[in-house]
Amino acid sequence: MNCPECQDLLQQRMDGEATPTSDALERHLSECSACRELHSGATILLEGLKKMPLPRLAPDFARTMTAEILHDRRQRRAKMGRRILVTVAMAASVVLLLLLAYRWIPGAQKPHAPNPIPNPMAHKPEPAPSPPKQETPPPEPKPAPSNAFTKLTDRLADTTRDHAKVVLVGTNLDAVEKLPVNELPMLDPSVREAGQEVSDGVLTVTRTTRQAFNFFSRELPMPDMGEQKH
Amino acid sequence: MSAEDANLVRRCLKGDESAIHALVERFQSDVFGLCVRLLHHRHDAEDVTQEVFLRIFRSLKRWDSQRPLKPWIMGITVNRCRTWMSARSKRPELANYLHETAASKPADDSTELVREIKSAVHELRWDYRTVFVMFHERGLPYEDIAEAIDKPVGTVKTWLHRARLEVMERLRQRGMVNEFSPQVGE
Repeated sequence: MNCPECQDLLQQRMDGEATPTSDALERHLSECSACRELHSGATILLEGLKKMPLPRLAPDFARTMTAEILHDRRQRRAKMGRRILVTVAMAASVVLLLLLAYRWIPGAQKPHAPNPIPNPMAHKPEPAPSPPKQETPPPEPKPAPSNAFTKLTDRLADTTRDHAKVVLVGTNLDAVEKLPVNELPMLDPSVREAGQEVSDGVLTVTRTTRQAFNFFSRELPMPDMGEQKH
Repeated sequence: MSAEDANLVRRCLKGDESAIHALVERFQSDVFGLCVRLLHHRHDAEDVTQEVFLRIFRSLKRWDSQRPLKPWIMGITVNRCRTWMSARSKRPELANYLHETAASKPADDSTELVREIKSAVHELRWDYRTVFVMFHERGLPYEDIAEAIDKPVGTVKTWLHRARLEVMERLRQRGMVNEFSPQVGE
C-alpha cells in the first residue's frame, strides 16, 4: 500500500464508511510517519466531533417563533391588502381626472362630425377637379380654435385622416398609381414634399414587385389547385 | 419523507398553527447549529435563526415538493449567514464579538479538544467550513450538501477533504495529535 491509497482509506473512514483493517495498511502505517500522523489526527478529530455539544435554543423557541411567523403572515397580508387598495384608488383617481379634464377643457366637447374615410378598394374616389398647384387660393381660414390644445388635436386628427387615405389606397398595388395625392387638402409644403417622395418610392417598389411576380408566374410551373382538389 | 414534508408544507401554507410549530421544531436545531458554527457567535446565531425561519415561511410556496425539504432549508440558512457575515464585516464595532467569543470559554465546552476543533473550524475558509459543519455536525450526506450550497457533489467532496486536512493540521500544530499507532478501521 502506498500513501495515496492510505489517504483514500482515511477519507472513507472519515466519511463513515466501514474500512476493513488490512495487514497492508498496518504495515504502511508502521513505516510511514506522515500517514501515521494523519491517521492519528483523524482519530482524534472524530473523537472530538463525537464529544462536540449540540448548540441548543431556548426551550420555548418553537412556540415564540410560531407566534412571530403568524404575526408576520398577518402583517404581510394586511400590507398586500393596502397595496391593492392604493392601486385601485390611484387607478380610479386617474379615470376621474381624465373625465374631469374632458368635461372642463374648453372645446373638448365641440361637436365634431366624423369625416368618413373613403375606402378606395370599394369604390374609386370621384375625381375632384384639381386646382392648379401654383394658383391655389389659400384655404379659407378655419374658425380660430379655442386654445392651443384644441388646435393641435384638430390638426393631428386631420393629418391622420388624410394619410389614412393614402395608406388604404396603397394596400391595393394595382391602384397605387391612383393615389389621391392631389385630392389631399392643403398640407404644409414640406409635408407634401415628403409624402411625394414616399409615394414615389412606394411606386418603384410595387412596380418591381409586380414584375417579379409576373416573371415567377410565367417561368415557374404553378400547381393547378383545381385539379388537386379532385 | 418527501410526501410527509409536502403535507406539512401544505398545512403550513394554509396557516395551520400546529403545522408551523411542527416544522419549526423539526428544523430548529439544524438551523441554529449551523448558524452557531458558521457565525461563531451565539447571539448572532439566534437572530439569524429567527430571520431564517421568517424567510422560510415567506418563500415556502416556492419550495419544489419534488425535492427534499432539509437541503432547501439549509441552503437558505447558509445564504442568510453569509449575508450576515458580510454585513458584520462592514461594522467595525462588532469585530470584537469574535474575539470575545473565541477567548471566552463557552459553558458547553467540555474538553480542550472540542475547543480546539471549534477554533480550527472557525479558521477555515467559508466554503470549507460550511461543508465541514454540514457533514460532520449536521450529518447531511454529500448530495444534500451539494443541493443546499448549489455546487456539484465532486466539489463538496474536495472541499470537505481539504477542510479535514486543514483542521487536522491545526490540531497537530496545537499539539493535540500525538504520534501513536492508531486503531485502524474504527
